[in-house]
Amino acid sequence: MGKINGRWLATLTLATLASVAGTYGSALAGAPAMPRAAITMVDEDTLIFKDGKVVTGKILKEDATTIKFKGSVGGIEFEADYKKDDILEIKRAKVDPKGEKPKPADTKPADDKSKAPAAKEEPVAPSEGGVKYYTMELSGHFGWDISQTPIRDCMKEAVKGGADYVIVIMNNDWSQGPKELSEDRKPEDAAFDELFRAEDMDDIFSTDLRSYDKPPKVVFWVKRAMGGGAFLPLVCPTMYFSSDGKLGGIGNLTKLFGGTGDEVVRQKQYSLRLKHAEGIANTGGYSIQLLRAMAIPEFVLTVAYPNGDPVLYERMPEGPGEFLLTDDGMEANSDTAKALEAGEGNDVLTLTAKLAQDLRVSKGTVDDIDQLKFELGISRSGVEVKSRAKQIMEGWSKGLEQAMRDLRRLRGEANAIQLGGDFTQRTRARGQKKQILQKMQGILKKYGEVFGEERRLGMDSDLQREIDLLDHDQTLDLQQQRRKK
Amino acid sequence: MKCNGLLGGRAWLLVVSAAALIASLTLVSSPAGAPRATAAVLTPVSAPATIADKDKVYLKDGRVLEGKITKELDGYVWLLQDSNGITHEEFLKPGDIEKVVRAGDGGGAVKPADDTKTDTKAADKPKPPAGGAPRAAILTMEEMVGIQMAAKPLKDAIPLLEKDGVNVVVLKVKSGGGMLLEIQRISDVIHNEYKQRFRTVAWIESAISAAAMSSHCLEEIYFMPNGNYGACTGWSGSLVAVKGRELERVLLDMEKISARGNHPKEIMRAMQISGRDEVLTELAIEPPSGKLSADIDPATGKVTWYQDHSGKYILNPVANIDILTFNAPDAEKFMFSRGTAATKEELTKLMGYQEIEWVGKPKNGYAWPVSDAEEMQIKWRAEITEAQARLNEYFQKYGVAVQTAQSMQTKSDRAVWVAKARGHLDFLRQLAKRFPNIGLMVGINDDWFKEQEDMLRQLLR
Repeated sequence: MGKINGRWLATLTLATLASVAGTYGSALAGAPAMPRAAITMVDEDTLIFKDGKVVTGKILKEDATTIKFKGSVGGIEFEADYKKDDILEIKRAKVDPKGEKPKPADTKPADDKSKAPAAKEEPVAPSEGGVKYYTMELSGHFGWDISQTPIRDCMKEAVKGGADYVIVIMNNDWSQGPKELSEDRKPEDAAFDELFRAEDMDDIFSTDLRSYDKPPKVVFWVKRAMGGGAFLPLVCPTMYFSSDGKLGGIGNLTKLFGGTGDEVVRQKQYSLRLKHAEGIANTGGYSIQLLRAMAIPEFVLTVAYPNGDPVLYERMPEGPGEFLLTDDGMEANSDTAKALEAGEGNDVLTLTAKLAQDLRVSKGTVDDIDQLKFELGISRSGVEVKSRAKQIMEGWSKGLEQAMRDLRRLRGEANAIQLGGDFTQRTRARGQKKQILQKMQGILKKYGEVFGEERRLGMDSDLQREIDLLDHDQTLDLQQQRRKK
Repeated sequence: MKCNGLLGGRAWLLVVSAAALIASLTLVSSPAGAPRATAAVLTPVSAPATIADKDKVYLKDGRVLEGKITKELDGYVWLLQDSNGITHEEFLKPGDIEKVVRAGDGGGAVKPADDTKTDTKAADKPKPPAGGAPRAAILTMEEMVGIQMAAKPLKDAIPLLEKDGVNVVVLKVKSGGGMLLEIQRISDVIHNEYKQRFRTVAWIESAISAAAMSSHCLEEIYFMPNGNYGACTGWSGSLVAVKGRELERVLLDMEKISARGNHPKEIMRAMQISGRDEVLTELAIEPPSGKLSADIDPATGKVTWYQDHSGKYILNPVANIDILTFNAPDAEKFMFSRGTAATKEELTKLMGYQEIEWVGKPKNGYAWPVSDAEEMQIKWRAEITEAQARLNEYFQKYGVAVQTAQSMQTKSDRAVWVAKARGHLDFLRQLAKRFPNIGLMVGINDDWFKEQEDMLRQLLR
């Protein structure tokens, strides 16, 4: 928070609240003349804080996370640093208070407006020396092509390049089967348990950011975020959708174990998984009720918009202004095949662009990067950081695909090696086989994260056991040869 | 070997039960059927007999804290407590305080905390325990309980913490559960060793099943924003629940551990068994079930718990799911946690400190300095993970050497392979000694080693 003490802040708040009240009053009265308070609003920058505090003055400097601000109270000037996280809204002076150059927001070219939604003013992001942004697209199969190592590499590159924003385009492949034969999954298909692969990655967009001196702001742009891919955007407070964007595919939580074992243990498993997922939503600041509606077919959720903002009710609609999001999916409420095919099922929630925006999950719908930059307030000031993200992500996918092919091929080659013949031939054969197995270990070390650490270690251990047996046989063989001599 | 597990998370592994642990616990009377109970646990955190010369702070949750009030400001109270010579400062919010009785008030002068005035020392910082900012260390407790998250490395770390002059220990928990047998061991180390020496708090990222039960003896629990805590149902094999007398024992053990942490026993029961009426028959146990609800007094904020649904807020079941696991907002709302902190700086404030001297050195990938004690935890986890993963390799090496020895025709040839086998057996012995639970899991104990030694001796005849 600011470097001014509490008493100063209290005084300042009272003074500025009075200014704002004045502006509001004038507007309500429809007064055409610009009152003094309104002039203040126009001439000075105003910060409205989440706790209701308001300060006016001049923004001296800002970056992605902080604002250096100069104001005055009772004629005494002060300077303070504020965290952007504490600020609800920044109202920028239309005219610089000291009559300096107009700010970039006022120099917007006319043709830019044609791209923007009608009557919408572009917010302005920090622009000193340009706002650096970095983009990465997460495409391919979640947990496979989309994995922690290439994402982390991209993020490192973004931070190294001084990015203020990292734009993550979430567009995971939701088809099933091998690539060449893949087909779209059915609408009711779900993969809640990809949650745990998502947890291998979500730190990169949340807690890991704190380790950077100048953490970039991460913005997710959802094209397709299905299955485990649904969890990643939820860890970030800022999310946009494309027009055909979808987020969901996790609606099988309470069906994960079928009838296996005792109900009480299944309930335990559902409970712990749900709370892991809710933790992700809490981190990003999203409603856990929406998450439950996405994950639990039995969960009933209704929405109303009494004052324009969504209000959620865990029951069926009770009036004309209420809209059912999900029913209990039981008996007559179970989604019909027709409803599912039409994408109109309501046993579980899948967020579309419109719904996500209505529910305040998405901050807007954009269909190209320019629109997104506009929404972020960086359409003019934005400078793209040179990015190798495409190469990094594709390199990983290709490498992984090749690695899996190599593992199969190497396994076949190792199995085909005959350990017969004389001592020299046997020794050579064992050496060849050992070399192949060690190559396989190397591949697993590089790409094994896609199997999960536990499984990777197990696979590596199996290979090591084969190698140990070869070593043992060779030692024994050698002893016998020496004995013969 | 009987196997019972409390493992949560993704791994469907069989885990080993602690028959020994269960047998060692004293049985008390089976739980009474009284469904309504208040969360007010009147056990003081520290209760020296000489109360007249100490300030007493009565909390709305029923606790009474004693010590010296070092600062008061706008109803906030900083209370310096002394426990067996170890001092720590507790920061108390006005909303948590029922009343304050000051030393010298003769026990009669009761003054609401909100009426406390800013005294002349109001501008002072909270008094640190040793004349400066308190020294704190974060110890991570991660992965499987009984393997990576275990009592041994925690106990071994105490001398290192003392060497570093640590006053405050933050146990940061991230575990999906594990072995039942380790719960009591960890609880004992924390309760009998850590809490006696340090102000010990839990910082929960994920404490599922045995991890929650192991942390439950701590009064002071904070969450991370993504934190979760609960889902403590015992099971083994293909999701088969622990039942009957064995389950009753675990339920009783957890009532005792709940008392250690001043947590209402109703909470843990709702984490262990579901609230469906039929669950009592299915699990062959006595009532009550794990239904849970609560009321929050709008004036005092005091939470009253019910092992039924008579309270305003239903906590079990929630969203059609019938076992309690807390998320961070609910844990805070119902005062199970004392707050939610994403960073060590936020945690510092929640603990009531302006400043903490975090002990240790910066380490890549860690958002806090890593102390020697924490290095020990990291090393333990790495080594035991490796040992667990390579266990089959070690057994194979030993087995192959034995088989080869058995196949040798001459005594001298056998001796060579017996020597190799002994080398591998020694390695296994060292491993079982260093990681006893791994030995327990695979059934290698003193008797097994003796049998192997005998067999190897036979081979040399």
